[in-house]
Amino acid sequence: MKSKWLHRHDWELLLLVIAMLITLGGFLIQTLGTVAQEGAGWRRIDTEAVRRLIEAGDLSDREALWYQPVTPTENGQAP
Amino acid sequence: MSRQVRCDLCPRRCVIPEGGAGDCRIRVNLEGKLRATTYGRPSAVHIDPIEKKPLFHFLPATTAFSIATAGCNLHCLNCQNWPLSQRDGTEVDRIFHAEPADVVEAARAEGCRSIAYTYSDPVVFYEYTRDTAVLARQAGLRNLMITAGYINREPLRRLCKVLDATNTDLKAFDDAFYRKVTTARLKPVLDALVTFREEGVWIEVTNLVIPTLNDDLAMIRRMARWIRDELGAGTPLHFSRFYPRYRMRNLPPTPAETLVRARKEALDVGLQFVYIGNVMGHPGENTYCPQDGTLLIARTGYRITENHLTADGRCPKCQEKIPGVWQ
Repeated sequence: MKSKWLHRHDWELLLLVIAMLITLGGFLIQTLGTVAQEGAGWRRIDTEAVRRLIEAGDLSDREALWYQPVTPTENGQAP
Repeated sequence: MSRQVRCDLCPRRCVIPEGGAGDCRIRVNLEGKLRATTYGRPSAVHIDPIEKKPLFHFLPATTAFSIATAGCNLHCLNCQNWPLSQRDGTEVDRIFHAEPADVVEAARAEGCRSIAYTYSDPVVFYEYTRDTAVLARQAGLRNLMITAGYINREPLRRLCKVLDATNTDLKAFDDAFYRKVTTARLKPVLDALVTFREEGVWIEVTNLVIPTLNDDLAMIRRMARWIRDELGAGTPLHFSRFYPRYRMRNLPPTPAETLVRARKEALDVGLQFVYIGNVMGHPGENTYCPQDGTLLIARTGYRITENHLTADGRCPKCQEKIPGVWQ
C-alpha cells in the first residue's frame, strides 16, 4: 500500500529544489541590484583595509570637497 | 551620534554612513569626514597620443600625460577599464605615488603638451584633477578631461576654470539606455556638456555605438540635432566601435556599416566634423573642410599621416576657419 505522505527521498528532493530556488533567487537579486544601482547611495567597503593603506601611505586621507554633514532630519530620521 | 555625510559632487548625491564609501567606491567617510582616498595615488599612468582620447581638433600630433585612479561613478556593463574603474583603492593591482607637482614635472620631462585626466573618470578623483590642473596651467600645460560627464553643475563649473578641453561620452540619447546600461541618467550629462560650452572648454563628443542597444538612426539623429543646437555645428562627434567587454560579451562588435550610417545621419543633420573610431584606416577618421571638402588631416588609428591645415587652422584652399585649438 502506498503512503499518503511523502517518502524520505521525496522530502530530500523537495529540500534540494527549495535550496536551489533560494540560491538562484539570491543570485538574481544580487545581479539585478548591481545593474539597477542608480541612486543606491553608498557602498560597504573594507574600511580597515583602507585605514591600513592610508597608514602605509598607499592611499590618501586628503579631505574631499563638495560634501556636507547630514543632519538626522535631512536623512528622514527622527531628530 | 550620526556622522553621515552627503557627497554633492555627482548627481547620485550619496548619503554615506561612517565607514562607508560613495557609489564610486573611493570617496570614503572616516570619522565623519569624506576622504578622497586616491588623491595622489594613480593606478594608471601613460603617455598617449592626444588622438587616442579622442581629441582631433586640439593640439594634433602631440602627446598627453594620462592619469587615472581607481573608482568610477558609472557602472557600464560594457566598461573597457573595469579592472580600474569598478574597484576601490584596496582592490587595484597597482598604486603609484604621484602628487600633483610630480605629475606636472613628469609631463614636462616627457615633452607632453597636456595632461589628460582619463580612463576611469576624473569626476571621482576631482580634487586630484583640480590641484594637478592648477599646477599644470602654471607650467604652460593644457588640461584635458575625458569623462562621462556625470557631475553636478557647480563642481564642474569650478573645475572648468582650469580645463582646456574635454572629450565627453554621450553614451546614448535615451534615458532608459543610461539607466539600464550605465546606472546613470541622461540629463545631468547633457547639463555637463552645456556647462563645458558656457565655460569655454573645447568640446568633442564620443558616442560608442552598441548593436541593438543604441544604434537606432532616429535616436542618433535626435542626438546630432541636440549637439548642433546646444554645442554648435562645429563640435566634433566621434562614433566609436563597440567591442564585447566586461558584462556585455553577448553582443557582436559594431559592424562598420552601422558607423557609416550613423556618420551620414549626423552629417545630414548639419554637424560638420563627424568621425568614425576604432575602425583602422577608414576615411571617416579624416578631417575634411566643411566648405569645399578638401582633405585637411588624414589619420590612421592614432597616427596623423597628412596635415594640410594652415598654421592658424584654416583650409589651405578656401581659407575656411576650422574650429579647434591648433597650437
